[in-house]
Amino acid sequence: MAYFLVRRLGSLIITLGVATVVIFAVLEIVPGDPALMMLGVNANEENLAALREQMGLHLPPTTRYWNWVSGLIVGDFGTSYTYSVPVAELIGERLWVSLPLAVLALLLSTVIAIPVGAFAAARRGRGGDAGVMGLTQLGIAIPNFWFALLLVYVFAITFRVVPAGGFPGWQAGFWTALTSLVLPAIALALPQAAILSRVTRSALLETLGEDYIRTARAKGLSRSAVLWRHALTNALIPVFTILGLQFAFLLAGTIIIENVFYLPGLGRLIFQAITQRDLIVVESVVVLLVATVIVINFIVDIAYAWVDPRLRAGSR
Amino acid sequence: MSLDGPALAPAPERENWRHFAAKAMGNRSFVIGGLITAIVAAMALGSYGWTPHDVTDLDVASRLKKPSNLFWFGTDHFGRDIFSMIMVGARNSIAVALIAVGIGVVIGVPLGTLAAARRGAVDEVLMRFNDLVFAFPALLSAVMITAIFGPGAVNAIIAIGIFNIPVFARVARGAALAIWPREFIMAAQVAGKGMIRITIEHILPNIANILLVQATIQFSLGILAEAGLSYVGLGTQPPWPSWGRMLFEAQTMMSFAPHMAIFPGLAIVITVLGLNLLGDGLRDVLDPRLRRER
Amino acid sequence: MTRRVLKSEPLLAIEGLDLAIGETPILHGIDLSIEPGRIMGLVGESGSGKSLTALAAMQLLPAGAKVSGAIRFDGRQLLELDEPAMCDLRGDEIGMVFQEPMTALNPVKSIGEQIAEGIRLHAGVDRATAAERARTTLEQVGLEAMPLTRYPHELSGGQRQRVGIAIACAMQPKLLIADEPTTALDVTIQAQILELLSALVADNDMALLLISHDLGVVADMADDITVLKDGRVMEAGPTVPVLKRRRHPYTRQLAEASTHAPAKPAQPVTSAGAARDGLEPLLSVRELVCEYPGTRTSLFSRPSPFRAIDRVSFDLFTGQTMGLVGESGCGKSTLARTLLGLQRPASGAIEFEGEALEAADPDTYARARRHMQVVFQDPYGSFNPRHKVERLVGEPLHLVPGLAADQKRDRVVTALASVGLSAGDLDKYPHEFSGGQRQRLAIARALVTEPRLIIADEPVSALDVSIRAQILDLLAELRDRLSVAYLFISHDLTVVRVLCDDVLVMKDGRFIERGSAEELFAAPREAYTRELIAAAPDLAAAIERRSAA
Repeated sequence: MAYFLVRRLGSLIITLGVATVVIFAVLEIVPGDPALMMLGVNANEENLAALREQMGLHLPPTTRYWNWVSGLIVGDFGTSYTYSVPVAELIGERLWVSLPLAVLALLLSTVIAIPVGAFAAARRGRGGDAGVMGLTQLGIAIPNFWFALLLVYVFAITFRVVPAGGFPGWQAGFWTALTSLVLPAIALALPQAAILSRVTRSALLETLGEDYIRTARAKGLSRSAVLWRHALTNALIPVFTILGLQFAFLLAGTIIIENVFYLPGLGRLIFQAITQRDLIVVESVVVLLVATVIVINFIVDIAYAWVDPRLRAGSR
Repeated sequence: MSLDGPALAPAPERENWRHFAAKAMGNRSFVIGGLITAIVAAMALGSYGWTPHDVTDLDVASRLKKPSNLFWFGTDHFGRDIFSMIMVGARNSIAVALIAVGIGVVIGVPLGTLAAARRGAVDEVLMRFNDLVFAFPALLSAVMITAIFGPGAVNAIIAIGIFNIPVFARVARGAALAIWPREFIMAAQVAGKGMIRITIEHILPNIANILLVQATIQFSLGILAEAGLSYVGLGTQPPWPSWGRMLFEAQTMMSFAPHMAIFPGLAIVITVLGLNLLGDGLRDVLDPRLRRER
Repeated sequence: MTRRVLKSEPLLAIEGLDLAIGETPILHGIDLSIEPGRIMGLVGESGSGKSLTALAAMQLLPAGAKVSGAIRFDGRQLLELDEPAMCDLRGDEIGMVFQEPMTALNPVKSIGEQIAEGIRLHAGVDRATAAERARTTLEQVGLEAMPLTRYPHELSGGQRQRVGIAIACAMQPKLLIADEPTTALDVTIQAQILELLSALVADNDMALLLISHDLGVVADMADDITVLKDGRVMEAGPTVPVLKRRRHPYTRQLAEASTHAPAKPAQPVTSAGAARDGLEPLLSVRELVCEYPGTRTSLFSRPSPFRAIDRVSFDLFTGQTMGLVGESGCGKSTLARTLLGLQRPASGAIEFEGEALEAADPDTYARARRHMQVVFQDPYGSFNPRHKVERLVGEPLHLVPGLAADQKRDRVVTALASVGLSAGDLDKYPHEFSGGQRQRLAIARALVTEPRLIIADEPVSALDVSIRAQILDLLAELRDRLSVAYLFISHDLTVVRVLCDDVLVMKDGRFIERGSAEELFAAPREAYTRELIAAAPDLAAAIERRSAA
């Protein structure tokens, strides 16, 4: 287990390293002169010189990269050009909207998908299964932002049970703040739940065909006991994989959904930064999101080992 | 009975065309999915020759009209016919998703089959590369590209295409790894055939079905992704109609012109649904053993 | 048909059982009855319906199966019981052991949990008591020192099968069903597991339904026998008389096929004879070592390589049939792969037709492979399902430069004719052939380059006995006609004995004994060889021993 952990940790660090190199190269090397890019061709020489100085563009790229990464490690993302405040501060505020939203959506989709998938698998080929599978087929095809628009139309515009958008901030009270995240979370979670429940169902059906399931049945276990006690634990492995990948999609989805509900999260920040050509903010948000995805996938790998004793022993 | 375990399960059988067609026509998913896909493709192609109204025609007098005999799906805030815009928008969705799938196949499949053939360090490097690219969802790649080059449909193609590479690499690798230990591969090696030749003659034909099914899935995901990118302004730019863009424009009119949001959204849902059904049907028809896997 | 008058009420009585899956009828009017405490052997070839008969008794049939008839167990009509009642019965009064020990246990649960699960369910005892009883059960199956906390992947195949038996026997059922319980195991392990089953049945007064394709195993174990073919009972009765008299033609056919010996050549080529005559070897292997990299499990120590083949040397002469026997993991397949150039040896020398191959470049190997071909075990997996026979059988002609298309076709037709197939088969796909025919195709593919050596890696292990006999005859005939040499790799001593001139016995990567087949089987010198020979099921010997008793 120790060897397995260290090996995975090693590849985590390498992947993170390469990812930062890629981001740095795309946003700071490819444009040639990032300062010119940010200020536009009509910028005056003085401002340009000042920005170049602030970004350290006179230094060689390797030094700039190194300064940037060592800053990231201690939480220093640099200073936003347009807001003139530390980027870390900007991100910190926005994160408290985006992260709860993503986590809420992930929880919601897991809580819905696993029982639904198990329900369908247990009724394989019968009416319940066909109905659930039809619904999930539809769920996969629905873009989450369109679903969000429909939810807004029905629940905010027609019935007025929730606000159509905006975020009062957590200082306005936990429940008040949470209420404004409910619709976005549902919009994000349902299409994901459709995918996840299909994966759960197929993983379960696959394990239900294994020899050890027959052994368990021959032991006298009923169909449902076999499903919950033997099949589900084994089926969790592919489900975990998809959960890890889905988190990446959820983060991306969060960015889009925030635009539907006018939530002041990372998504709004990044789009404002793009229109204002604030490369420093774009770079920081991208690096943060990419790192999150990588770390989540690392955690998923560790979770495998927790589920599967064969990996725990380190034979992989 | 002794040895009829999984090792002796009958190998996938070569179907002749007539048999394949008969099986395909008997598969409900395949027929419905194929029909929907064909209709969407026909709409996209047809839009080059004819649309009910001119999509560049701004007619303030007929803005925000509800669906009617004249404007089947109503009009938008500039008075453009939504049905015509959906027809033209289909071109865009299909082109972006199709090219992105092409990028994934052309780069990902050789990488994946190479990794499976060489194993060892090559494989390890490829898998790490996959992990890396998986960490850049199409949206983030698009954000970066747009920040540098400005928005446009090409960005969407590149961003979605990049994300498709590891998808196809992973699927091709997994499928090829399952074929390599088979005895007919060893027989080919004993017949003196090299890695590349075996990959072309024996591996690719045996994983083609799986890749085809994956391609339909990625195609439908590509349409969703393109819509998302256009919706947030990172994809296709106005005045060119695109389904995602139409939804963005509909958003502020939601309370008094919901039809502006409903029809483009339905177009996306139906197209994606059609492709997914087609993929499911193909999987069942091409390889019944895969049926239970999803 | 002779049916003995039953001494007592049968424990399990299957009467007129019909079974169909979907529209395909599988079983036709099966009758079978087992008395308490007795062992019933159920034999038959692939597709005879043996396993489904057992699964019908357990009511664990695959979806879409339709049954009719009657199955009576201990006074109850099983086909009329509802699912909860069957659950109470399964694992409590009827236990079942399956074929594949590698997949029959849940990989993510400890063996203790898996044994205790049934005990808790049926005895309704608490966790601690169940664990205690699981411990006792493990001891009964000969795993005294095995901790309950082990996971299946930490156990060997034989140990896993013992755990499988422990699960089935944890509640001391009245009836134990064992479906090919030893087919996936090595012969020595098979002997141990069969011994364990006999002991458990005798000690706990259980009845045993032993399903097997191996007449030798059944002859050794069973009190009564039922012979199945295509879903019908051919013959049933006490084992020894049935197998001795062989009244039913199918029983006779089966028994003869399992002991079938192809005609040996008038003058077999043996190593001893060749050395005496001063012949040049066709293939000469010296001090060959093959290693695999070890799996790294620790941060601090480098893994030491696993030595699959440890300094082996042997010569093979034109026309000689050399048997290579050994249990799984002994290195015999690695040796085959190395000789074929599919992997590189760590050290040592391989000389074929006077040419050194151990470090040969691809071209030299390509030349050598024209005269060195291979036949694999699995008649289904050894052909690309998307190619036609002409291309499949002609594939090795890649090694023969300068052949025109029609020359290639002629060669393929000749090879097909040698194995009893015809030019009419050229345009067929592999799935259009039966298992035995496919193995003929595989042999044709090996013959197409007119090789002098064929490496046959378990070529008959996946075949039913009657087809096995035909393929053995074919191999013997080709040897005599084409004076091709075989390196015949097998775990099955019976087959090696009837076909081979010389035998190499391999264990842990080394040859521990070698000699002519006749001498080696008559007077094995090494304890391991003796153990192998003793463990191999032998129909004739079993009948003799049982009728004397």
